[in-house]
Amino acid sequence: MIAVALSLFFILLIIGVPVAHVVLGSAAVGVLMAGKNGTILAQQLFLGCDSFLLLAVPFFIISGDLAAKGKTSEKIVSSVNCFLGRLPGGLGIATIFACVLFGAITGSAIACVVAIGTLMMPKLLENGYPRILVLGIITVAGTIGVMIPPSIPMLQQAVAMNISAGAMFTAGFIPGVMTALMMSAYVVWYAVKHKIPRGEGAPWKEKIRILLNSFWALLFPIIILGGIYTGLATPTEAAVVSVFYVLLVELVIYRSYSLKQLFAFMCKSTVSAATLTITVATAQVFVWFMTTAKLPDLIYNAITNHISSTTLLWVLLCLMFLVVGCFTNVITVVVILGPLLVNVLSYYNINLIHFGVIAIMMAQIGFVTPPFGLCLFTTMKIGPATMPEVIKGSWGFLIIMVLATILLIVFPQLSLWLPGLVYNTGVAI
Amino acid sequence: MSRFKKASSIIKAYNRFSDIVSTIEEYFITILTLAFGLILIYNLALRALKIQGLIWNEEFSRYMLVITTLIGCSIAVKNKGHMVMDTLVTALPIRIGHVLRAIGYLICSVLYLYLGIYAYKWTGKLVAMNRKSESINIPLWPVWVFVTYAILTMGWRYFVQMLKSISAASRGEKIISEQEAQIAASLEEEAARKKAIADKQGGNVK
Repeated sequence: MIAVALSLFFILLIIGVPVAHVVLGSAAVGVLMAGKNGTILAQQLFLGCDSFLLLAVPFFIISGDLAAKGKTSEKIVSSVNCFLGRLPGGLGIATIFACVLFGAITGSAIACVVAIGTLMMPKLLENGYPRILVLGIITVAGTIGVMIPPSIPMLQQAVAMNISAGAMFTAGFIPGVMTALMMSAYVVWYAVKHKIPRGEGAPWKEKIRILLNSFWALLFPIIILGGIYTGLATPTEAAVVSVFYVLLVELVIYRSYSLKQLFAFMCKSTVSAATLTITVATAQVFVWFMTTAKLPDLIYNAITNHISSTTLLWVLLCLMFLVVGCFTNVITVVVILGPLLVNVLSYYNINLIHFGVIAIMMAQIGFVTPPFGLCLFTTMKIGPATMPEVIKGSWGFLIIMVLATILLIVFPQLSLWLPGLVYNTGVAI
Repeated sequence: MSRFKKASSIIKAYNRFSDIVSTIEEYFITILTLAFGLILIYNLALRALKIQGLIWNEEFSRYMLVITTLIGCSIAVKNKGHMVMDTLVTALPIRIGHVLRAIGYLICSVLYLYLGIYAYKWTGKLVAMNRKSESINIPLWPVWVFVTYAILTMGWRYFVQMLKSISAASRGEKIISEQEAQIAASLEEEAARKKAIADKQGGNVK
């Protein structure tokens, strides 16, 4: 039964059936083979969506989309640029940190690449940055957004693996900033080596003016994350607040779009959020079926009998994520596979939040690995550039991301220290 | 020739009807989401003031999520908004790729129509059992009416997509991968955003 369901899973996936339906379809066949009828499947599908935490996904997507379509991205770029622009490679560093801040708002890699990329690419080229480096920065910086809280993939994982979304969000903070700093160091090195001219520094008066002008946009992540970390709001409530905050900022303060446009954007966002939510819901159905068929036990026995060390398990998991990331979204796979691996992870003393952070990191790498990295293609379009050009520009950054992943695996404290501190639970959550 | 004209006018009428239905659905789920957002904010404010919140808020917000997710997914079938791994489909010769896609759509259609029938039966059972929600004494079956509707329309929309894929195969139309479509949509949105801002600034200057 498991073999048939798993075979069907891969066949359906390969012939281009949407991922959400692949998992539901293969679970359905398994359920039918077990002699049950469709009622239980319909109920499980209902239960898969029936989660208060999952409710945060549509609200975060709506707020992120509205912010991306408004003036928030421009405000963030200008404020980051006025502080970092004077450093060697300053404009490149500003692009990376603009993506970090923008990622905190949208949580989407593609939105980051499009919004910040289209804004910064002409500026970087005008300021004498080599085209290859510019393509690399635009491609990889956008991926940091999925690690910086609040992040949709983190929420999906938290729901699927039944872990605290707040702790997961906190865990992504240091790895996200660390990756951004490592990428910035690479840009500085590249700028010094290729003698890229430095930007002109803005006087303090100008800096304060820009900061005041961007005040509402910069306050956005503080309000959302502050609400969650201080315990004033649950992640779902914080997501709702983020929608109404962005409405207030973009509609009343910045006046970026009309009410009619706003409603059209919201309609689109609600539909796109539904497609993400259903992936988690159907994955839950699949996990429920596989659990009743005792697949987690089989996986547990197979892995613990053949893999002797935690390091080897990490290597194998990362290799698997790397291969998966070349063809599809790693997070979808983690949402399906993660709950089945819980026992295995606990056997090897791997914290679920630590696992989640590494999975997000591998998803980031997956966004830029050929042949189907989403950010790779996005940069090719906005460049416009050829794939070899984008790959050439991204290579250095890709190595940095791999190094960051190794660091995160070797030092779990990088992911676990902050959630331990914020949630007062010690390192092991 | 007249038969061809009749078929073409039926398709046009169906497309118009389908557009109207999906627009109504889009409005419905967006308004429902916003309404529950407001209720959640209201509850948050009550809690901040240390006043007892609405007890049904959480349970009904979850039901709202179920309804909006399933109806949203049904709409997304029409817009090809679901995440797919179409590496093989786009790598194959055009006609074979379309046929493979049509098979995928047929599988989804059968799956959801099958589930829809059982969801309908379950709704009937809920009516018969007079099952109530956990927090307040309200029947649960209306939620399942929306669930059944969403699942059945999803099955139907996949069936229509299958027919469209067969028609595209017969015409030898180029296959657009999900990735290409997603990126094109993002870039289009960005261009529209910039235009809207420029228009507004132009208007302000005037």
